[in-house]
Amino acid sequence: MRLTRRDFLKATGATLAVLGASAPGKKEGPILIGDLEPLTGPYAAMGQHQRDGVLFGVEEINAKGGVLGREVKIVSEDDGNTPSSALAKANKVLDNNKVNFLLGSSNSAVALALSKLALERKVLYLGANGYADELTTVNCNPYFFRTCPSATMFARSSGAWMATNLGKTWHFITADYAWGHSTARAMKAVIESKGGRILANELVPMGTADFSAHLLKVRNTKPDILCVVEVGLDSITCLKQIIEFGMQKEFKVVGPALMYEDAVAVKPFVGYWGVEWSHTIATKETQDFVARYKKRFNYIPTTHSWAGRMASTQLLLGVERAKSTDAKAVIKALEDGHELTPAESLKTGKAYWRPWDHQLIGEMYLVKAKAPAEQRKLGDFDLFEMVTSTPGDQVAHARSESQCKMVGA
Amino acid sequence: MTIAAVAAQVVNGLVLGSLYVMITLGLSLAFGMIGVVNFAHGVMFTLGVYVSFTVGNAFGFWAGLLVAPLVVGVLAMGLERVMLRPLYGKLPLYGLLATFGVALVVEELIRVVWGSLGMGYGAPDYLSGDVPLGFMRFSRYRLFTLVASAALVCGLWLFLMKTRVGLMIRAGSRDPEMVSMLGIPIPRVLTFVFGVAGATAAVAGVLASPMWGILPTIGMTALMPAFVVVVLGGLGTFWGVVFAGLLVGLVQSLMVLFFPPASEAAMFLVMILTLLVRPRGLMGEIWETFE
Repeated sequence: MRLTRRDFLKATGATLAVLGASAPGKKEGPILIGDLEPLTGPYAAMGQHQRDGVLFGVEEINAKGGVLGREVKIVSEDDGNTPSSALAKANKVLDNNKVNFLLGSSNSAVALALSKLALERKVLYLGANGYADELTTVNCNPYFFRTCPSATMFARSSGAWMATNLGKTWHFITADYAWGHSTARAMKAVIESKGGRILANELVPMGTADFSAHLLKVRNTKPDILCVVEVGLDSITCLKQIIEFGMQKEFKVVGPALMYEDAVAVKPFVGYWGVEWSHTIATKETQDFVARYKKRFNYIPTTHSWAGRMASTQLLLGVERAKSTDAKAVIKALEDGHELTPAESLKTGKAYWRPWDHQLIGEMYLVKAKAPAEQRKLGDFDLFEMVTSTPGDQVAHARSESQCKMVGA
Repeated sequence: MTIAAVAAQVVNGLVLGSLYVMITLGLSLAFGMIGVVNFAHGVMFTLGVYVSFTVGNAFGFWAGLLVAPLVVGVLAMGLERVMLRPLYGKLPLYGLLATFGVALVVEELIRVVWGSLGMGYGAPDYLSGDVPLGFMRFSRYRLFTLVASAALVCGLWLFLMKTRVGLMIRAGSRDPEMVSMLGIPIPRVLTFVFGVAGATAAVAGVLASPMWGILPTIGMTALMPAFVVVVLGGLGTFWGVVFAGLLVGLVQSLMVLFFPPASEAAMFLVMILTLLVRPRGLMGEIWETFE
C-alpha cells in the first residue's frame, strides 16, 4: 500500500488525538516551582543546603507519582542574596519559565521583597528563611507563607529554658541591626520574667572582624551566661574568639539561634543554642529522613535542608488538597487548619499553619554542643545533642500582640 | 572604668593594629610602586588562609606559614604579568576594575575548590591558651601575632633599605624613567614587588586565620580597614602604614569601652578628620609620580 501524505496526516492526527484524550495530565505538563536561593556569596552554603532540601521534597513527591497526576519540576535560580537581584530573578522565572509558585530566600530583606512581589503578581510564595518578625506580623500578606520560625519564637523558647536552668546574670553580645535588637528585647522580657538580670547588652556593628575588645569587657561584668545574638560570619568570628580566649570555661556560652553552617566553622563547638529543627530529633520519621537525605546528598541535613524540604512539600500537599494549582485555591487549602503528620513536619509535637498570619507553628528545640572528642564523628554537622523542646504556640506572637492584617487577596 | 580595663584594651588594640599593619603593607607597597589600587589584595589574604589550611592540615602550622606566601606570591606575580602590565599608563580606574573583577572570580573559585562552608582551624597547642600579664590574662596566640608582625615589618624594612633589589624598588617608585635608563629592568621589578605584596597578604591571612576563621569572604572583611590604613598613613609610605595601622587598632579597641556600636565607624572618623587637616595622610610626602 502506498502511503500518501494525506493518509499519513490522518493516521498520525487520529493517533495523537487518542493519546491526548487518554492522558489529559500530560497535556498540562509538569508543575513548575521557582526556587530562589543565594547560591553564591556569603550565604552560599545555606542557600545550597536549602535548595537541596527543596529538591529532596520534590523528589519524594515525584516518586509517589507527583501531584494531581503531574510531575513537579524545580527551576533553580541564584537570588544573589539581595532584594533587587532576587526580584529580577523572580520576575524572570515567572515570565520566562512560567513557574506556578515561588519558594526560597535566605534573609529577611529578600523574603520581604519577594513577599511584596507575590502580592503584587498574585503568586503564592513560601519563604523558607528570614526570621524577622515583621514578615508575619505587620508585613504579612495573603500570598506569603513562612516555614521558618520568627525571631520572637527563637528568643522566647531558648531564653525561658536558659534563664531557668543555666544561671541568673547575663551579658549580651548583640548584632547591631533590627534582628539583633528585636531578639535581645524579646529575650530580655522572658529572662526578667524568670528572675534573671541583664548586666550588659553590648551592641556590636555588623561585619566586625575582631570581637576581642568586646569580649574583654565580659570578664569585667562576670556574668553567669554569655549570650551571643549573632548569625553568619559575625557569629563564627565571635565564637572563635570566645574559644581563643578560653571564655567557654568561665561562662555558659549560649545563643537564641544557630545555623549549622556557622557552627561547623567553630572548632571545638561550644554552648547551648536555640534551633528550629535538628537532625537529633529522635522520632522514627526524622531519623529516617536524616538517613535518606545523607545518602542522597552525602551530608547530615541542616536546618536549611529541613526548611527547604518543608517549603516544597507543604506547597505541594496544599496543591493536592486544593486539587488545583490556582494560587487562591492553594492558599485556602493551606489555611484549612490541617495538622501536619510527623512525616510531614519531621518534628515532635503539634505543627500547623496559622491561617490568620500564615506562620508555620511547630516545636522549637534547644541543643547543646557535644563533648569536643565526640564531635564530627558522623560527619561535619555532628556537633550537637538534644536538650529540650518547647511547643511553638506557647512562644509565637499571640494574635493580640500581632499587627497582621491580611489585605489584598 | 578601671585603669586595668583601659590597659587591657590598649594591649588588645596594639595586637589588632599589628594585624592591620601586616594586611596593609603589601597594599601600600603595590600602590606606592605601581600605582594600582589593588582590590585583589583581599583575596590574596583569603588564598593565604586556604592554602595554609590545606598545607597546615597535612604538614603542620609552620609548613602552612611558609608555603602559603610562596604560592600566593607566585600567583600574584602571574596576575601582574598577565592582567596589570597591559594596563600601565592607562587610567588608574582600569587597574582598579580589573583587580576588583579578579577578586570576585577568585572568591567564587575558592568556593568551588574548598566549598562555601566555614572551616575551623586552630593554632598549635603551644600557642593556644592564656598568658597572665598582671593586670589581665591575654591570648598567647595574639601576643605571638604581635611578635610575628614586628618581625615581618622589620624584615621588610631591612629588605627595602639594605638590599640591592630594595634600592631598585625605592628608586623605581620615585623615578621609573631614570631608573630604567640606568639599565634596570623596571617591568621585572614591578612583577617582583607585586609578588612580595601578595606574599605579605598571605602571611597576614595565615596568622589571622586561627582568630578570624576560614571563610571565602574573610579577605573582603580584612580589606576595608586596610584601605583606611593606607589612606590614613599616607599613600605609599612605609612607617606611615605602621603608625596608622596601630592607631586604627587602638582607636577601635578603645572605642569599645566608650560606645561599642561606633567601634567600626571610629576608624573612618579618624580618617576623615586626618584628611581634613593633612590631605596627604599622616606621613604622606610629595610623590613625584602622583603629582
